[in-house]
Order: sequence, then structure tokens, then C-alpha cells
Amino acid sequence: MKGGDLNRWRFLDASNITSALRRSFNQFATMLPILIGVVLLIGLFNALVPAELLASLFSGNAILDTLWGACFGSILAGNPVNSYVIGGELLKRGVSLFAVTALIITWVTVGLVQLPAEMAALGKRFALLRNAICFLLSIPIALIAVLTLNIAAG
Amino acid sequence: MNRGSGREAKGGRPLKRIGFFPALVLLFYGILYALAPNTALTALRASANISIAIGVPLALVFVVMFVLNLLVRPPQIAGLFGKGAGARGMLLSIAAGIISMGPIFAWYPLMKKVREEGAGEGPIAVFLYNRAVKPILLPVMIAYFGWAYVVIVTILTILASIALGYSMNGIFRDQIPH
Repeated sequence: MKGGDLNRWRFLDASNITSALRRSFNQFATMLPILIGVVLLIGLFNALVPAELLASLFSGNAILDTLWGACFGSILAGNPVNSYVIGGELLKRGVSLFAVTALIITWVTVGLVQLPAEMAALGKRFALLRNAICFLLSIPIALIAVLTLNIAAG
Repeated sequence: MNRGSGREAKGGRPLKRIGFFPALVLLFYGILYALAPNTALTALRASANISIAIGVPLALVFVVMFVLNLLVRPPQIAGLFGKGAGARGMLLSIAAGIISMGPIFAWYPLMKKVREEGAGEGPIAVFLYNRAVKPILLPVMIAYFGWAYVVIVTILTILASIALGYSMNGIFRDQIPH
């Protein structure tokens, strides 16, 4: 009984804790330079691409605007709330909900700026394929979402 | 227990090559500062704000990594999220993706670790995709776009993540260890 109890808590040995801490630090430290690079790159994009510039690029064509929305969502990054704010602003300026939906979805699911970090962590093939599939998925999601909404609204 | 061995080289890079990317970005900042110092400072301020915002999520990721290193063995991760985990692995990944917080790149170190310890490509892709569903942000989204739109987009996002997961599993099927 005593032996069993001791075995159950063996993972809390000082040596196990130190070893787990060391491993966690090493795993984290390997990714840190890339994370710093990504943060700096996102800062650059935020400073160089204002929302007004985005709005001026949409033409009014639903399919093309959806593609543009997906492209901008893939390039831009940051808190999802920012995508809602930008999406809301774009809607006010007459940009279609198709484009805004594609932008909101790709904002989180596709990350060109974060691609170097994703490739470093998960491999080039995984990162490129995942981002490509997510980009392609965003188009039908945007179309289905808006069409469903229109049907639901009558 | 052979912890941390697994697919060590997969997706990994020598430290020198990893340092190349931030050095390149810093070089770009240097050029921008020479050409437009105000824009470079604005970009640096934006980066500082992002760094502050990701502090808590990164700390959370570190704690999760520590707990996983302390308690979970690679075979357990492979069992829960491995290529053979099936629908259960997908559902767990959806739930984990939805409750995770912070930017996507904050989770890369953890994803790297679980992948090296046997997690499948599908569940990892599903986890990353479901980060688009954030219950805490839904009220903001509803305020902008209405509840009907949010419900439809949320359901479609979860369904799309499952399609993505099975696609990734299918594409990487050739790498299933026998």
C-alpha cells in the first residue's frame, strides 16, 4: 500500500521536476528567436498596411472581393477582435459580407507572417499544406455562410 | 521512457538557421528606420504591444509544456492525439483549440513537442484551426455582425476544421509508423 502510494507520487521527485523544467526551457528556447521575429514582422505589417488602404482595394465583385478578403486575412495577423473591427469598418464602406467573412476566417486560420515559425515548429510540408488548405476552405465557408444567412433572413 | 526522443529531426532546424529569420526582420527594421524613422518606431511600438499581449498566453503555454513533460509520456500523447486516435482525437483537438487562448504562434512550441511525441498531423491542424472559435470573443463578434451570422460561421468553422483534419491525415498517411 505504502509502496504503491510512493510510486504514484514519484513524478514529483526533485529530479523529475528539474528535468521537466529543463526540457520545457530548452523546447521553448528553440522557438523563441522565431517568435520574436514573427512579433516584429506583425508590428511592421500593422504599421505599413492601414485599414483605409484595405478598403480602397475592394471592387464590389463578390467572388473577387472574397478572394481579396481571404488574401488580406492571410497576410494580416493579430487579435481576432481586430479582424471584427476591420471587418465592421469594411462593411460600413460597402464591402460585401463574403469578403469580410473570408477575411475574418483567414485572419486566424492562415498566417503568412507566422509561416516561418510554423515551418520551424511543424515542418515545411505541414505548414505549407495546412495554410493552403485553410485558404481554400475559407472561400466556400464565406460563400456558404452568407448564402445561409440570406436564406435564414428570407 | 524514451521521452523526447520520437521524431527529433522532423520539422526541426539548426539554431543558426532559426536565428536567420529574426536577424532578417531586424535588418528590415534598420533599413526602414533609415528611410522612415517614424514608421519604424510605430512598427516597434506595435510589436511591443503585441509582446505585452502575448505574455500571458506564452506563460500558459510554458506551464502546459512543463505539466506535459512532468506527467505525460509520449505513448499517452500518441494515444490521445496520434494518427490512430480517430474521431476521439479530433473531438479533443476541437475542444483544446476552442479553449486555448492567445495568438496562434504562441502555441507552436507546444505543437512541436506533441508532434515529436506522436501526435498526428490531423489533430494538430484541427487544434490550430479551432483557435478561430473563441467563446470569450463571441459577444464582440455578435455586436458587429449579429448572432445568426456568428452561429452559422462558428458551426461552419468547426465542420471545416474536421474536413481539414481528415485531409491532413490523408495527405500524411504515408508517414504512419507500422
